[in-house]
Parts: sequence; C-alpha cells; structure tokens
Amino acid sequence: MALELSPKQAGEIADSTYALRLSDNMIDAAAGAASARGDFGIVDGQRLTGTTGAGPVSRTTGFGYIAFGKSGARQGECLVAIRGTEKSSAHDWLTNLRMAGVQGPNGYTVHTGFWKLASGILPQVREALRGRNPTVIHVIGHSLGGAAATLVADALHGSSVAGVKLYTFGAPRAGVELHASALTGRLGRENIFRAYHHTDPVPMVPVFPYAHVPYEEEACLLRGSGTLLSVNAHLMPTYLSSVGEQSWRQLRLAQSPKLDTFEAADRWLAEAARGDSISIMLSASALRMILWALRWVLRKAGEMIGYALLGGATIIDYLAKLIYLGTLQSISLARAVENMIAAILRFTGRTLAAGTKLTDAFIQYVLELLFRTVATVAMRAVNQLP
Amino acid sequence: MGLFSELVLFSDVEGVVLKDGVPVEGAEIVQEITYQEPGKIPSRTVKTTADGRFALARVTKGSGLSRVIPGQPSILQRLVIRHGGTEYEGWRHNKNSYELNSELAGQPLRLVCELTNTPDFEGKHYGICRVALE
Repeated sequence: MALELSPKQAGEIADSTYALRLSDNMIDAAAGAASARGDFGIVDGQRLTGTTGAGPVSRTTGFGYIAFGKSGARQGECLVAIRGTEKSSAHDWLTNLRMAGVQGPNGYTVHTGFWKLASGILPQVREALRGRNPTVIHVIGHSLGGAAATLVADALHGSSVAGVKLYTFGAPRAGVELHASALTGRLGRENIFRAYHHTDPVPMVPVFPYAHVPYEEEACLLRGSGTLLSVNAHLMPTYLSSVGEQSWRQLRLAQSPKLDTFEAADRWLAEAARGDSISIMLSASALRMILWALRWVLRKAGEMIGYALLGGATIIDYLAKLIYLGTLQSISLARAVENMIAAILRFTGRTLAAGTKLTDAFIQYVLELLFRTVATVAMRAVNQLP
Repeated sequence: MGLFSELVLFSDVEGVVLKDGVPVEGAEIVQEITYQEPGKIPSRTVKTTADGRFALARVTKGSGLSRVIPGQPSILQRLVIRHGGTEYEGWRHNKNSYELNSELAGQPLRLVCELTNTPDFEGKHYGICRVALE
C-alpha cells in the first residue's frame, strides 16, 4: 500500500482547507499546503461545499477539497480534506449533552451532527471520483472536520476498492465504541493517524460511549506548552509547530499514561479524591484520567446492570442511572463512584461535602457539570475557527 | 502580545515594483483582505514612487474579547498591481495567525514585484512578488 503522508503534509493540508471557506480559488488552498502541492494537483482540485443553518439563515461555504496525485510517487492517489465547522453549529454539537447518535455509514451508531456534515460532502467526493480508480484515498481533517473525515473515510472504505488512510488533528470522537472498533479493524490501525495535544479539550468530547479511532490506542500525543486545558492547543498553527518535521513513528513514541483496568482507575480516583497529593483543578491530564475512570466505572456498572439500558446513545440521565444502579450492587463500585464524584468536583473547583448521598439525581448533576465544563472549553476553542 | 492588543490582519508591507529590472513609477497597489465575511474590510490603494517603491502600514482590528480566547483566524490577503492597463496578481496568502509578520514566519514583509514574473508559489504565498533577499 502507498506511503502515508507525513505529519507536516497532512497538517498543512488540514490547515489549508480554511482558506476555502470564503475563497473559491484553489490557489489559496495550494498556497497553504506548501509541502503537499508538489505531490498533489491541489490547484486543479475541486472545492467541496457544505450548507449550514436552515431557512433564510442557511448559507453555503467551502468545507474542503479533493485533489489527485501528480505523476510520480503519488500518481493514482487521492486526497480529501475537510475543515472544521462554523461556530454556530459547533455550539449545538458540543454543548448538547443529551445528543443522540444516528446510524452511520456502516450501520453503527455515530454522532448525528458529524454524520450530517459528512453526508453533505460524500456525494461531491463520489462524483469527483467517478471514472477514476485511485489506489489510495488520504482523508484529512482538523477539529470537527476530523470527525467528519473519520466518517467520510468509513463510508469511502465501505464503497470503494481503494485503500483509505485517515489523518486527524484535534478531532472529537465520531462514533460509539462498536463503531470505533469496527472502523479500526477495517481501515487497519496502521492506516489511522490521530494527532492531538494533551491540553486540547476538543478531542475529549463527546464522552463515553463515543470512542476514538484507532480504537484502544494512544495515537500521537503531542506535548503542547502548559498543563491546563488550552484553546490555543486546539489550533492548527499550534499543531503544525508541534509536529515539525517529525515522522508518525516518532510522534507515536510519546504516550500518555492511561488507566488500563478498573482497579487502576479505582486507585487513581482514591488518590485524586483525597486531594493531598495532586492538583487537578482544570488540569488536562487529570481530566483525561477522570474520563478514563468514568469509562471503567460505566463498564463495571454495565456488566452488572446490562448495557441494554444505554440503548447505544449518550444520554446523560441514562449514564447517571446506570452508575447509580451499579453502586447499589457493588460496594467496591460505590466507593469508586464516590471517589470519582469527588475528583470531578475538585476538577471543577468544588468539594464534595461529607455525608452527601449519592442519588442518581446527584450523579447526574455532577456528570452534567463535568461534561458542561469540558464542552464549554471545547466550544471556546472551535468558536475561534474561521 | 497582551490580552487586549490589536489583531494584525495584514502586516506592514514594503515593496518595489520593477519591469525588466527597472523601477515602475505610478503603479497601483490594491490591498484586499477577506476576513470573516466578504467585504467587511474595505480595500485600499497606494501608488509606487519614482523609484518604484510602495509601503502599506499594517491593517489591524481591535481585539475586544478575542484575545481572551485566542484563536485561529483565516485571513485571505491579496495584493493586486495595476499598470499600463494590465492587472497583475502580486500576492495571495491565507494568514492563519493574528501575530505581526506571521505571513513569513516572523520576517518582515519586504517584496520585490517584477511584472515580467509568472505568478507562482513561493513558500505559503502565491503571485509575482517574491520575498526580498536581505
């Protein structure tokens, strides 16, 4: 199979898509993708458009482009690049805590908003591919465009004989765990290149049961400056600066700690809840750990109560109910949940009052607090995209 | 850059217009900026001096609260050169930062615009203007 694009090439391509939001001149995209335009005929590529809003306030703008490899090493290859979306839509997608999924390109549950964007782009991509038979399709996106790129890659792989390689920067999760697992298997984890900063809030949403591809892998963690969640960490110039001239292999060497088991999550939560050894308020690494721990708590509760309750959608009161019912079944889970609640409150600058009863309503309140905090910071980051 | 400092949409530009290496007097340099919405920033025009030189001071926007939440802009820049009834594509660039001189990764924007050049890419910009060698 063809060689992957370098992190710098993929990053510049992702960055270059923003120029086409208001320009219909492909030169403006090619100018930004300096390291890739020698290999791909971006100037001769096709601008992809999308419509946002509804009724009299709807409007059509550029959402990316498709281009084909020039003669030489990339002959016969194709690239599809998608930009992040506008802030009005981003607000809906990131802050709606009760968002439900929808059946995606291969039958699995995916995020409604991301699939809507991808669905608008796919017919244009398929039309551009008509009569061509690319050997590989590189699908690239930043931010919400990365989530849409994930679903476009999914759909193209399902309907094309070409190999598909996926590259995302600071992308949110596009589908539920089953989707992420299946897509990772079909594309091959070696063909998925996910880069993110540990302080970028956008890849942290939506939360469980949504999952990243490659599934169960750390992907390419980039160390930005600072330890707190940062909107700057989400922006393409920051990503381009972080990847520099490195290869994907070099980027994959940087791994962040994660919680591999319920027991590991339990230990971390106990320490975080005590609050005597680690400062976690708005800490990006603490948030990652909390989200890992939440995932294990939900899995544990799901084993006892049954996942049928979830119905495949991220519905916060269902999550709270599942956790609550789990605490009634298991003393060890109840202790972990209490520690998790304390850790979440500390993350948001609050404390858990002694003797507070962990009702399902209180668990729901704390989960909403957590998700809203993450979504608000994530929304600020995408708000500044053009 | 402080929280409430200005957002630079187009950094200061100094340049010279030449034709076959000879300075061109009276050429019009039209500066266009597309930011957020088409037509939001009015274009402006300067003329080259007897030695072919032109200068455009930076174009800025008050930051308001934008600096509190620093972000990734997309600012389409264009310089069009008009001379002898012909229009030349001088400079096209998508500025992806509010920082001064981000167009050339921190270097000041000094251009040589040779009218006989064929418009082409140079780094992350396009046109007949080339970055002046120091």
